[in-house]
Amino acid sequence: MPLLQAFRWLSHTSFSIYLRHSTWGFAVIETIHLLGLAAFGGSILIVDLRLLGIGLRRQPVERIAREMWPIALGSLILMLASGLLLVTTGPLKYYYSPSFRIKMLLFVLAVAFYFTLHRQALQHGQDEATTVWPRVAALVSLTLWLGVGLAGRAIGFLG
Amino acid sequence: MSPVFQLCQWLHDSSMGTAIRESSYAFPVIETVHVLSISLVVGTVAVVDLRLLGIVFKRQRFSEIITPVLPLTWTGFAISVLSGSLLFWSEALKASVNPAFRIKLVLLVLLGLNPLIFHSTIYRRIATWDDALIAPPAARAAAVISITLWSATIVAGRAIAYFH
Repeated sequence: MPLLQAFRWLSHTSFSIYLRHSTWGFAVIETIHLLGLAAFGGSILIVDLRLLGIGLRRQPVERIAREMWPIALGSLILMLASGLLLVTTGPLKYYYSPSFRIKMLLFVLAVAFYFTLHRQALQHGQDEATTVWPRVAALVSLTLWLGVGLAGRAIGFLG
Repeated sequence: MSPVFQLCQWLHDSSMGTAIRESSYAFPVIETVHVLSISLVVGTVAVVDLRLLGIVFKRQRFSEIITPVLPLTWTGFAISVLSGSLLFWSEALKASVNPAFRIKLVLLVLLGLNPLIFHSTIYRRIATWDDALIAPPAARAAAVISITLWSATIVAGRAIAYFH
């Protein structure tokens, strides 16, 4: 299985061994991951709450999405980088973790949804009086991202 | 025995505190709510701060962004305080001597003072600078302080587990 091989290879790198034995490594990386979450979660919430008619109601949906995009992208990259480093602290532990697998599955679904159907909903955001799709898209998006967050917490609690 | 210690002891021994601490799922669930509420509080206040610094929504009036977003921040803050209080309730003794928790409390007090000062001084005169290209220095200072304090609070919060 190529994926298992990749995780195994990662666990044998000197960087991974270094992180595993570092006192502060995991804590610092996890804190960066959390700071990224604050920014990323906020950008998602501002847009999706708007689609649900909450918050910046007087701003056009496209404007909000456009303004939040750099923050969302930047913080997502930060979370991916810190997330990769977190996995590097113990690759095989994460490979076999059910919570981690569920998190990655939900993450892929959330990102795929965001770049396809959700993007469509943003473009038709102005028609929200006549179509229900923007609201549905917002709820699906929030549910998927919440799922990613919950699965992430579960890694620590359930393994 | 200091009064603070006595209060923490009382909280620790209370049925509520004990129930949360001994339940296998209460603490994790409450803590998850607390951590995820960070996005609602800090994520939304960051948009306000970024507007004040002229980084987002540059062509919109300041009040157009600040007024609708702050209620979201306050809602998130209420959830954070509620969940945080329950967490503290169950771990009162350990938390009260935890240096990271103490620092977090100080930061939260400062975080309360910052908007208080902002709203009662420079923001009161919003009508005079709502259409300005750049916010007054006092408003921009408040934004930088806000982002710094919130980031520090998140770091301190994460550090609590490492000092327990």
